[in-house]
Amino acid sequence: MKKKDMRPKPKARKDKKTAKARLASIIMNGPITIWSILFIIVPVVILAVMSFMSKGPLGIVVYKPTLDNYRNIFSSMYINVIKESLIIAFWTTILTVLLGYPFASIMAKMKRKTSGLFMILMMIPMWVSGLVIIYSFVILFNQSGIINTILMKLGLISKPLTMLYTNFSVTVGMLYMFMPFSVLPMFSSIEKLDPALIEASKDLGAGPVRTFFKVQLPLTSPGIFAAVLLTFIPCIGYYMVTDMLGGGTNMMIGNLIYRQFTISRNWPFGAALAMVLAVVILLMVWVYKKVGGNLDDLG
Amino acid sequence: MAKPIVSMINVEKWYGANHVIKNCNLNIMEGEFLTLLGPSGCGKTTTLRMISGFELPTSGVIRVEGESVEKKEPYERDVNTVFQNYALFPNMNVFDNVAYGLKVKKVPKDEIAERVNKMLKLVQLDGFGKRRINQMSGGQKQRVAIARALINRPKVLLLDEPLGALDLKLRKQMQIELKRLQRKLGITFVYVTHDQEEALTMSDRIAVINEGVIDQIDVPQKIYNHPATRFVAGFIGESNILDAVVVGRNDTGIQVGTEVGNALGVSDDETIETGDAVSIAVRPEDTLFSQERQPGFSIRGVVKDHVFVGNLVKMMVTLNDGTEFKINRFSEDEMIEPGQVIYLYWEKEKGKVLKTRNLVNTDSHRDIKGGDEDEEEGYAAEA
Amino acid sequence: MNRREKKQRAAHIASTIYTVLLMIFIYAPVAVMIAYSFNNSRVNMVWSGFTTKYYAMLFNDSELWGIFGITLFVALLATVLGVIIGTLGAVGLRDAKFPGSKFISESIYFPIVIPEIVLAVALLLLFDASGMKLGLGTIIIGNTTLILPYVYITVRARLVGMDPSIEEASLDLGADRFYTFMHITLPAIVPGVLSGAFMSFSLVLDELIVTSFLTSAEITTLPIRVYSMVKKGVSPEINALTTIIFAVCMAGVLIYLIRDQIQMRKIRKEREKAARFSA
Repeated sequence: MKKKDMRPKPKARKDKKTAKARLASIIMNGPITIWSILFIIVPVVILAVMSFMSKGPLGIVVYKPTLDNYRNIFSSMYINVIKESLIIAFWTTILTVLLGYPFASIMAKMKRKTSGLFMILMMIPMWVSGLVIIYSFVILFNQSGIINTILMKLGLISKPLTMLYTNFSVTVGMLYMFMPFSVLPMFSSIEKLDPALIEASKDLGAGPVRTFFKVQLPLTSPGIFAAVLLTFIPCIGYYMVTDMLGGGTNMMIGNLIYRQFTISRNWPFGAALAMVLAVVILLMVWVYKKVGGNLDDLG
Repeated sequence: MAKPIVSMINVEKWYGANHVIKNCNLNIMEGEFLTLLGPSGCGKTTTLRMISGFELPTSGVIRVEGESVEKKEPYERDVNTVFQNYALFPNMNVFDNVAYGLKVKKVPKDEIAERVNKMLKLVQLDGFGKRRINQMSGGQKQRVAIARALINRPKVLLLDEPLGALDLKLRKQMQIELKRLQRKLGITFVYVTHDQEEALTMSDRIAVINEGVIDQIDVPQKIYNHPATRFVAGFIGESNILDAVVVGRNDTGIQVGTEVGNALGVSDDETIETGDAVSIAVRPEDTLFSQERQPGFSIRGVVKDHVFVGNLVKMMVTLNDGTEFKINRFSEDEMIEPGQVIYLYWEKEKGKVLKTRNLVNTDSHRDIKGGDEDEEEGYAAEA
Repeated sequence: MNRREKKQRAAHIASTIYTVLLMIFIYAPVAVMIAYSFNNSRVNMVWSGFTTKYYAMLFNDSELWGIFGITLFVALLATVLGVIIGTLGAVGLRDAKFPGSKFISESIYFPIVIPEIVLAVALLLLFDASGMKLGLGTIIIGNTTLILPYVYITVRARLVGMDPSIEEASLDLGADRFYTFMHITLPAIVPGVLSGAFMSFSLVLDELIVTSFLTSAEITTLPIRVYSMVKKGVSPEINALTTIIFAVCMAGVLIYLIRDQIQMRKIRKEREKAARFSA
């Protein structure tokens, strides 16, 4: 048995603060606390609750707990959409990292000013209007579009290629949309890399390939993982690119959710889909944090 | 000495379950240079921050010029601080940094200019006003920090390891300059450092702090020559310290017995009696040795080796139980060859018999543990 | 030329080619977008001659300007709200220890770690459950929530680099907390605040998902308008408007670069002067 401590307990162990310090803390922390409770935490709780309700006639929500929504998601039709979404998001992510990493390394070797300029040049189209510019791909990829016309004139192809409204056009659109954001974390992790380490590896007789895989890649992996998340997270929930460049034939989870709230008016099912999406992503983020990633790099 | 300008009465400080300041009672006298000395984490900086107002004591009273300030904001107290890493405002030049305290108080512009320029002259930074902070060297930044803290004419200037970031040569120079400044201005300086040499050269008085308790507060000579506790003896200068038990005491000295033999010493502490557990401390330079046993002493050792360290030679002696005993001499001639057996002794007055604070220490350890449990209970009750 | 130099040269050429190709990929759609703002055809698919009539039409299209105005208004208000709340919060939560503060600071990241559509749906459910009418208010709340983490993160990044003892120094010298925040903290974090504001503003300008979930039939923003046209083809007028925005952005970058050059030259001259002076 634990021996009882007979000495008087010291009171007021909390950090003492003056009234003014407390007031300052309330002014600073009050708004963000209230905001994140009202508009982040509470909505997510409502979303979770809603996902267990069911749809009545005319899209009215019936408040009786059920697991039907989740069961439905894993039925064949919807699971295909999820599979499709994952595949597109997967390829977009792979391509983004594969194409973005070399550019990030090239930028890391530039002068600070120049790399900053290229960073801005990459971002500008996104700042201006990603949507309008993505739409340009319709003109480029069309049967009678610019790329087909050029290729035919050059005699490389005899009849126009079907590029628009395929997984290809969707992936290119997504790539265009998300690459600028994913280059940034890769760039900053490569830039932070101590060149002496690369030198040391080469000095010890490792070839450039070996040096890359054994030294540079592992050391910049947090940046790569951040890039993966920065592409994968928005990609999987994004429905506009699929709509514009997929022509309604391709559907992603985002489109499916959007539909539940517009055409189908099945809010509980839409909520359940959103929950599944959120849980999958949060699992990835959890892994990211576990391997030492910093959420701040996702900003 | 003059009247106290800062008084800390029964001050306690807890960080969660950590008891960092234990019943601190301290009077800082007007115009003195007081140093809070101790190893890192002993509570010296916390003590300073409670005077400046960045930490509030868990309980107790702090008075500045007789007025209770322990609940006041830092900006309501007539004390100013020189921070460890200068904490200069990077978005302002030297002049604006020094002028900050006056601008806050809305002092008229021409008066600000006059006072700042005077202050810059005082710290020998005449003409540096327009410089940006990042164009200044470490020593110059230090002077700006001092000027900035002095511009408000504080009653007490608090300095938190202000010379820690400077190299040795610059540090010595700044030590002298700080002392000069303090004498010239007559302001009370409370100086925090872990560097005992710095403390010994600059201070009027030194408070040696160990695990949140002031072990001894006195003038440097007294601290060095008459350490009050085993901790002080070990922390200030070099000492050989042995655990011992009092065998007998008479008017002239104390006979103690240790694991490795008997020895003689003295103590100011009247309460030390036969049978008490004590420590005996002796400085390496005061330790004598001979081939045969001296009256009152029976500590035997084997010479391990000599090290030449510039101005002196250090000799290591291994005692019977394996402890190392250090002896310092000025020349190699006074040493004997490694491997020889010698007997150690010293003039009775050089052996300081100290009551071990062991009892208090174990108590405080239990305190921390007990605190942990209290904390949990406290939270549970709140929830 | 030895082998090593050859290798380096080859690597340099490869890098340049790669950069050029990537820039072509990024700017080809932009070029198409600009070109088609001068296209004489109403349908955005075929080229039928050069015209500037859509620019003229654009300036007379009061409806489109109205939409543009609403879009700007939403972006501005959401940015201001997000910057104020996010900046105060980033500074406040830095050393806050109130119960649940850790949970709050983690939840701020939510809008960026979950897909936008999840946030949009969750907010829609909240407004529906609380009986709040969809419209301008809900769009602004939604967009503010979306950008809050961006401001929070950029400001926090500056705070991490700031020496916290400069705030203590200010308090020590007699300044109260408000004065300290305005004169010491804010100047130190201002680059973070600005870049957060800039990111937020451009994000909201182009924001579709959250806005389309939370808007009413009467309130239309530019991205919603564009998106509604996707099926029938985006009108050249929209292209014209986007081209103007693009031109403004580019001009901004150019001005920044030129200013930078001038400043650099000034610094260099001053340095030379100083060097001559000391010699």
